Amino acid sequence: MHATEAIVTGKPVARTRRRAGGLISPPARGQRDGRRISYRLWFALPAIALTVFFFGLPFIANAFLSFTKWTGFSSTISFNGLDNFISLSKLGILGHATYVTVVYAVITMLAQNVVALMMAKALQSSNRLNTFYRSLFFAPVLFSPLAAGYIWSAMLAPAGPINGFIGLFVPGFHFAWLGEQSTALIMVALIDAWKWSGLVTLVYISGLNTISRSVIEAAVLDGASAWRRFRSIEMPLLAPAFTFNVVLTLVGSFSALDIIFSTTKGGPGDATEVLNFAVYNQYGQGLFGTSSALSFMIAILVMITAVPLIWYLRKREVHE
Amino acid sequence: MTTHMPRRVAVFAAAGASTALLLAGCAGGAESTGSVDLSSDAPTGVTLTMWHSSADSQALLDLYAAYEEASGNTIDFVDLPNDTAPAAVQTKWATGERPDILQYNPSPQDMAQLNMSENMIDISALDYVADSKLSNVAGTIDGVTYGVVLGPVSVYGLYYNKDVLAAAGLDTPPQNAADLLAACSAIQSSGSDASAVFMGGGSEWPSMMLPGFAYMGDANQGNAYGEAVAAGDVKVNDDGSPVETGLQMVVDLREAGCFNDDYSTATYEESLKALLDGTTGMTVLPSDQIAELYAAADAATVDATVGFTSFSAETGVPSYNAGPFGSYFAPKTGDAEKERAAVDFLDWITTEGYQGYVDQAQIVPTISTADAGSLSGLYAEAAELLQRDDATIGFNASIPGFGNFGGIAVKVLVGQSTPSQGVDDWQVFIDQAIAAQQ
Repeated sequence: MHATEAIVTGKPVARTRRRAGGLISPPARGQRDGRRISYRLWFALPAIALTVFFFGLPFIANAFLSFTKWTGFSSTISFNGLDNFISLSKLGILGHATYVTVVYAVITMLAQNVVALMMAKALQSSNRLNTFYRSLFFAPVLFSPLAAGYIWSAMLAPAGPINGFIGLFVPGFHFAWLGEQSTALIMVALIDAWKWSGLVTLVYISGLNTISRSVIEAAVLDGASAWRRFRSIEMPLLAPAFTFNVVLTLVGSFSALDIIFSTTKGGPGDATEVLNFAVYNQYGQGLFGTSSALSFMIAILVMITAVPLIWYLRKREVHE
Repeated sequence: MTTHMPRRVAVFAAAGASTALLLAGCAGGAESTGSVDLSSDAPTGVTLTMWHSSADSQALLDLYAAYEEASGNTIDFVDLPNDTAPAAVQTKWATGERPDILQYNPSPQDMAQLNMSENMIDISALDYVADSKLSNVAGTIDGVTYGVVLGPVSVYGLYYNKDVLAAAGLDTPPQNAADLLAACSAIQSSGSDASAVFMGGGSEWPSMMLPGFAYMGDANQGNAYGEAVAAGDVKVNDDGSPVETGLQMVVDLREAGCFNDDYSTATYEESLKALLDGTTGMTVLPSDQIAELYAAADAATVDATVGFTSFSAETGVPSYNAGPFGSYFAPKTGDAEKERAAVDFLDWITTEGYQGYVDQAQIVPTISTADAGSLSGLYAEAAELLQRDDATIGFNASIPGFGNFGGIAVKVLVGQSTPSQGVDDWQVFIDQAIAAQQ
């Protein structure tokens, strides 16, 4: 079969090679594999270059600077071992900010995925009304995170509309949602979840729509209830979307700053002081080495969370 | 395996090279061009870059324009968001970027963060230094002056609503901690709906005003306390620490129900509004906010409604500070012509251009060659405090690691820390900052 014929028919061309004298036997398997890898590498090259320059090198530089005395007070940078980490630990920043970051990320991830999965089920069918609602729920994704934070600050203010609404049922209701330690972290995490749920919902909708209708119809014929179909068929087959969403939302939340900046500025006290906010505070005081150490902690946190999480979630993925 | 080694080596070499480049950039500090020769003519037709706050007053903007007209030089402005200006300066500075003129906080502890001796031009030879008493405590570090301070100089004091205090039977506003608690009790007993003291904890910085900037006036006479802490002779968590008693006053006020209900989330803007509409009796803020009050209502209403007085732990000693507004430095950039022009800018705004600025800005002049205009209302009350003999520089001026005090004050305010824990925590931050400077 000629190559043109293959394009028309869609059938693969026989793997043969010509020399001046006629047909020759196909190359050895190892040789073929090597060429295939080399061919793919060319396509991967831009991604590899971008990763090296925009992740690899900054990561190495940041790791190095984490172990240096680098401040605005002096023009020299000197190696100081673990001093930055010890100092941050003594200040109570390292442990506290890591704890707050992890709690924030878990709340955000759970809220986003639970709400998004429910919305995806509700909006799965592609009709005009659902298209409208999908667009509506996606709109917050397009908002600036800072704007979203400022809007919710006003909504959650003690004299704001949310307390006003609750006050219709509970006269005199007054509560500083962002001013109480017990609720501030939860509220900012939920604002973050609200901001990005539309995106996660779309991933779940596309995941649900890739499940073959014949599988669902077979289950219906077998008498499976809606809940049983969701639990035993859709959930397992949604595993790739689940993997993507869980990792994206969890790891993304480790880098949270903008919404916290525009709502609580890390407060009340340090109740919402995530690692990135601590980085900002240290940097603002000219303590660049300790700031780098905190940034390094974020990178480590992302790696020790993402790698095993992806491995575990990929392992449980099933395919039709 | 062996074929992979060179690649790995190359990757690490590239990373190393990039790190080295980064460090070279970060190590910052333009090559010093030495001191500027003030006897030479200042250049004209030069374009100077200035980093300044986006919230500069009209009087300052007009001053810049007047300099451009007088000198023939042009200023290219880089606006920094006011709330995050210090961090924005640090970020740009750390990458080695330098403006020709920098608007920046002139307190010694803030100046130290930019490593003045290596990065700024020494302007000790300017007439300004001899003509400004303030240059002894602001814009100067280790006896060398690097920055000029035009003002406004903020004085920390207690704003009060005259009607609320009168309704509570208070003829004079409180000027110390004990009187403040008594005034709170009187307002509560009067049956007024107004909160006794407004605290804008949501903006963070107002939470430092009452227990820190204002309360510490007695302890920091002549900047004694701040300098002792900076030298390590005194710890803020020593027994009987005035910082701890200041924080304890906040706890006492909170537990007595003296603050507004939303003290943890309210902003300073809301405190000004509450003062004017009589929903609070008092609040402690810097005199910077006077302009905001006059912007919110007509002058007659503000003067009839609001008063401003000194406040400290015991005797009502006023504290003051020069902030970044109206404070300028000339960084070393390596361009001799621009450095000379930048110093010319500092010289002009403190000599020929200064009186016009003082008149327009309605401020107490920081330079003896200028005359104070006729000030009225709250401006006159603030000026009177500023000119008192016992007025002292704010306790923050010299304390390294002061940037953490705001967070600590908020934690105490909202009950997350006790005053004792607060000063312990702060001392650790101070130790960190002192170590960073060594």
